[in-house]
Amino acid sequence: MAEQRKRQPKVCDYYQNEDQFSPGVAFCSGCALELNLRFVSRVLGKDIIFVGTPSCSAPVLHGQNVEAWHRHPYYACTMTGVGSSASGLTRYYQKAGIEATVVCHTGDGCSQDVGFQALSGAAERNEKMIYITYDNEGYMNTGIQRSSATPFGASTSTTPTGQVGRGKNTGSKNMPLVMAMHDIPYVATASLSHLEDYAKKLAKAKEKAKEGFAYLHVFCPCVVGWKIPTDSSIQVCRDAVRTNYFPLWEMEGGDFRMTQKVPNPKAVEELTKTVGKFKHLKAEELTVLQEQVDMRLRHLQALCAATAAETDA
Amino acid sequence: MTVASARETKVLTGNGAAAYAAMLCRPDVVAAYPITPQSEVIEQLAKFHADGVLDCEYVTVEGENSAQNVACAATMAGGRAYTATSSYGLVYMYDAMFNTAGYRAPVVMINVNREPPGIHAVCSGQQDMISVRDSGWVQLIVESCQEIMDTTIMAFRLAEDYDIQLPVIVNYDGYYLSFLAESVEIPFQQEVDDYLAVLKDQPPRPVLRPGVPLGCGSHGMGMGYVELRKKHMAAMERVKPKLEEIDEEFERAFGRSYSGQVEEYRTGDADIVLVTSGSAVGTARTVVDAKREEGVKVGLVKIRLFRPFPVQRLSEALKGKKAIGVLDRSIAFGWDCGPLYQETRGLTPEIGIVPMLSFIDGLANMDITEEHIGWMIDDINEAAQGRPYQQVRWLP
Amino acid sequence: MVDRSESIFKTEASWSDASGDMLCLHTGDWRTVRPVFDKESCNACGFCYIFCPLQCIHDDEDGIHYAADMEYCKGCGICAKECPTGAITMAPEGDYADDCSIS
Repeated sequence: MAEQRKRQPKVCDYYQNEDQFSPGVAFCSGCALELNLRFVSRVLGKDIIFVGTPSCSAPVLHGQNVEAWHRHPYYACTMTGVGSSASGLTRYYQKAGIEATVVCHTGDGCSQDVGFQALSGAAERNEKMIYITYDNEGYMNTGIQRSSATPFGASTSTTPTGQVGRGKNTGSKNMPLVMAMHDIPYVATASLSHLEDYAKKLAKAKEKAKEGFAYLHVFCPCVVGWKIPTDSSIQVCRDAVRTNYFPLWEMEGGDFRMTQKVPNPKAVEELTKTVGKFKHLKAEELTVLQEQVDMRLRHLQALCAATAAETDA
Repeated sequence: MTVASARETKVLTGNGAAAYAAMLCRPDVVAAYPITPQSEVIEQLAKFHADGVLDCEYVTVEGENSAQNVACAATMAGGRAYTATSSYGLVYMYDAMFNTAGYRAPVVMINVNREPPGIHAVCSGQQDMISVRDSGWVQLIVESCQEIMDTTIMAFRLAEDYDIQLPVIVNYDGYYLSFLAESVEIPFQQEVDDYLAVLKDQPPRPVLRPGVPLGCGSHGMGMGYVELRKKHMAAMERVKPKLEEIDEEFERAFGRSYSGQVEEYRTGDADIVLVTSGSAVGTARTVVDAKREEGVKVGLVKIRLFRPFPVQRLSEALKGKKAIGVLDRSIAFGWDCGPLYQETRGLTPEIGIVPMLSFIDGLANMDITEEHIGWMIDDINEAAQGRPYQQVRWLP
Repeated sequence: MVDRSESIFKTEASWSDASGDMLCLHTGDWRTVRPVFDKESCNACGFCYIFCPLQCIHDDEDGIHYAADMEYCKGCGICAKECPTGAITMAPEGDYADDCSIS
């Protein structure tokens, strides 16, 4: 960056290097996940080892025959095997005295559904690694099917609206809180609208991964699946934070704190009105969603108060 | 159990022998989940680990699927890895087994044979081993506690051989071997180190390292996929002569040989042969001897290497016989016979059309007795005389 | 018939190696609109730079302002939307005739 800059976004201080990805990769135009992968690569640094699985990230994270789309070492495995394969890697590196940061990078479908057991097991054993879930609230690569991260009311290809159907009829699993209950050193939520906050959390996770399991849950809209314009991913992230739909918090050694204050939260409708997968929601359905958002926040606030951390980040 | 400091003979169960052998091979990472009749293997390894005798990362995983993935990834990072399971656990790790085999990861796994889910049975049976026969793994099956000890050591030697690079299962019958105590001679640690030392002098295989832009598990596109499958098949074929070589090396190092892929017992001048595997071989040897006393010229072939199937060695052993019986401790769904029988039948181009009888016995801990084997030999004899015979017979 | 004289993999399993060239798609072909940077309105805050999913926004020749790499820019419009001063607008690709030679 040239000297003449009037100012430089603070997040740039956290970049270790240029991202290690090829300039032209097959992510949709406006895909938040593309930003996520490149961002993680820049902030965590080129020496990390990715563990990936079939997902939206796979066509870029995994190679094709002998060629690859980036310069990070990576291990590709089944969706059921992410937490466990990463455990095998990190355990061997410890045995052999090799310094390495193993970074699992999966969507919500893997973390919360089919790969949950292996993730939970790895966390309970406090394996030394970073696990990043990019939450696009569904199985996007396979065609926008619902996952346990899909919110109440959302239209997906397996919970479509129709003559009778009104989208998904249950709320989503509060995954970051579930992970926080595993007694691990570090859990945090992050949003691609708040990059400095995210960068700090990545840096912290990298440190924490030297002693145990660090979990990050990142809000990651899907342009195609959520039916939003290609330019809107970051704005949707911002709206999610400002409506408390996706609060930004961290848990360090059992202490919870909000990392982004939201003094005048907007109603969740401010988010849903811009996101096509919610457009069919009637007032009473929005109320249900609002109640879930409110309840989650109450749980979080109670945990923050109970653990009474001295400072907010 | 204390650690032997010299090559002594101890009374060990099959599970104990398996644990001892694994410990002697110095795995870097051991990952396993308990399941009857395997549990004592991993308990004994945990005790070795807790006593500082086994210097490894011992990963108490939350399920067998994870155990397999831990082991595979550890080998892809450059380590030696071991796991053990049985039946339900084996089939639970099925997706991970394809991953391990496809990655050509040299994982060594003990499978203590037990009946798989569907008809709940905590009992011996070989259906579990059969159910994973097309996963791309090398499979061996053994007869005694000593053979468990010895074959585990050979399995590491085989799996990590540069020409092979395949995962290996060592199967043994649950209950009949897992909990049977026999006298087992335990090799010195130094002897095992020396036996496996040749693996260190090989060209290095690719491994995952920070800062090195290698990726494990790239998409196989088009001919790339086909090429890798062909390479895998070729490696499987190389297992057959390699196992013979390894067995000879083992005999020179430890004084015991198992005759490689198959063992022939009194087949030279035999008119009829019984083919089987696992713990039943021990019983069959006794009955073969008894029948020989009665003048029946019967021989026994023990299948030790199940995958790859020992086509050439088995054909040589069976050629020219008047009738053949194959004893299975499992069934081949859809073929109305036993699986080893089904595969032995596939040797018709090599051995010609010969009366071949399938015996299904020993399911769910229904003992394969000397009496049963006597009946089997009688049936094979009937067939050899040109008299009518039943092609498939279920026992008891 | 497929030419089998050269193997695709030197390894026995599916290892990829990025120590040489990486795979690359010419994603600039995808776009139907492109970002136009108005330096007069730009305050060089760098938001376009940090939010571009491709990270394809780089220093302009003057070293103060920004420009997108037209080889790869997918035309998503995030830079325009995130720009706090409205200095970036999205214009139709049809208004532009880039050099079409293959390099």
